[in-house]
Amino acid sequence: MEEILVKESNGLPALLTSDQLLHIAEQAEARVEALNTIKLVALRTTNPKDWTDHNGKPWLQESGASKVGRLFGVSWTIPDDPVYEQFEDGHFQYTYKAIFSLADISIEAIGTRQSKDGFFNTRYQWDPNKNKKVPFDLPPLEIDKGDVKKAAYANCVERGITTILGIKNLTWEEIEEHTNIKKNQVTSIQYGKSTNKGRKPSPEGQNSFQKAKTQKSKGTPPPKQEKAFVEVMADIEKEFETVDQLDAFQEALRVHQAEWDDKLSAYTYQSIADRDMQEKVYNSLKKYLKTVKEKDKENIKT
Amino acid sequence: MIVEKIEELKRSRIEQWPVRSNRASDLGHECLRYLVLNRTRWQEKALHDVNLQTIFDEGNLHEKAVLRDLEDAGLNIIEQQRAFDWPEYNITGHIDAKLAVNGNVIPLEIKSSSPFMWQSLNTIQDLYNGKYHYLRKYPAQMTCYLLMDEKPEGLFVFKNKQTGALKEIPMPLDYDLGEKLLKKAEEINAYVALGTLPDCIPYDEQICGDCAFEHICLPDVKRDALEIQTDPELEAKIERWFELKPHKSEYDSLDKEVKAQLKNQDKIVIGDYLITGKMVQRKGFTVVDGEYWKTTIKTLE
Repeated sequence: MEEILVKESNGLPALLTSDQLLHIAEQAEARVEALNTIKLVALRTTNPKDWTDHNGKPWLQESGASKVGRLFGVSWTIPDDPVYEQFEDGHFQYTYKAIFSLADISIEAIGTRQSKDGFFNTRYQWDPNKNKKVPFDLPPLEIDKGDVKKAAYANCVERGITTILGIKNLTWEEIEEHTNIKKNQVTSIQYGKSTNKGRKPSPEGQNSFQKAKTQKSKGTPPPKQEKAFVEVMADIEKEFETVDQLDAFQEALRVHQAEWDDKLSAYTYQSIADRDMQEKVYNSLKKYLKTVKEKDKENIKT
Repeated sequence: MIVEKIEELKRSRIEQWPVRSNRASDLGHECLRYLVLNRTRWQEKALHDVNLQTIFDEGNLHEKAVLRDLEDAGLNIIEQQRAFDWPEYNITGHIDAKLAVNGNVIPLEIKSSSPFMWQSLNTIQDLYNGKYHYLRKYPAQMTCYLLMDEKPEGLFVFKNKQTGALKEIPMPLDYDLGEKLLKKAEEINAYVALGTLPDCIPYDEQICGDCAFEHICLPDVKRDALEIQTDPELEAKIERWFELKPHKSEYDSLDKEVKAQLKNQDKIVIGDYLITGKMVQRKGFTVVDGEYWKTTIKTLE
């Protein structure tokens, strides 16, 4: 039997037989094929109503995820009651944590929704001066807790199913190639991707981030972490986009009192003027990113 | 624009009401935990969507239309939407109407259904053994009315939503079911009084999958993982099976039609075809109890 010399690294055996290598290659190939089959079968189970377009990326909604989960036999268990958090402004949040399993694979997923989400708290009333319906915010007490709780549960189910089946991060090309679903058939949601373009931060928003920028122009090189708040947030937003977590980014903005921009259909970090709030949102986003990245690593290992 | 306006209207009709009693229409629900949650945590029940509200509205329209037709046909319809209350068991409900005929008064419950469902419902057993759990709740609902109104028999009128055709299914009072329902009502009342909850039922896709309390009940969702097979030869056979299936259905339907028209014709010619027929004696036999594997093939879409 021919033997191939393999350079020793990370504690791996120095020698692998060609049979072993072939076996590994075959397994890898089979795994890729299996993943593609899962993707294909999952896609064909859905219809346009199951999808939305988030900033140009396809997003499988809970209705679609449930269908796919039923077909593939995804099981789950929720060990504890959801966590309820009440914020100072009266708004509240529910968080569900569940263990999803398929055959011998298990993963953990978290689902969160807040009463501050426009879906729950935006209502419309007739404005005779403008001669049209204008949005207004429902007070937190008037928001149905059952709806928010149910939505957090749905969010958890959707995340769990799409993660365990590996059908996150799909592209419109893949979907349009394998199904009759077209991008223009689904509802489109645009988050504040370009919120940092052409918009000035409010004057009250001047803080150490902005000051750092001013110092830079005077020739004093600022410490790396002291970028303007909007620049830092733009970077973080990009990172969230990379890990497909823009909805979580938006949720964080909502919690930290960002204002809703009707034109952009998004919460904008430029509107967070309070220094403490800026720090809070920054810290919570960084913490969240770290958790997501660690989880991704674990999932890859699995 | 029209559709959005209508949807807005339907959405405004989605309401949530306090649940202070065991509703006759719900008492047949197979999950005791659901029934207790419905009494104690009704505020947290997820509201149904516009699609379901549209179905409810359609049902109400059909109910009114059927009652009007029955009256126009000269039938004596009385006590429409009469409310019932049984304080001892805390059961409440309201019957669609009553039919007064030959000195008898019969509780009447009107249901509308899809053509396919309508076709499959012919006897009260079809409701007891209904494929969907909402169908299995109907006998319980009627039993409550019969017990509360002390009547020996009730009548279901089913309307085919597509054709408008009606079908009546009588239901005699089922004392066994009545006993079970009263016991169930007592159990619910006890849980409500104690502020406790019964355990989850084993996960049932039909009951738990669309439950409005799923986010509170938190059942363990247990399913068997799907097996994905690769067999190009079998796949090709299934593809061909699908191509032929519509022709088989057409053939069967035509065969039935043609044979019915040619019944009792000994020998005739039609166009290029000679047709002969004869009576054949068939030997009767009884199919013994057993089991068989039922395979269903459908497309993924």
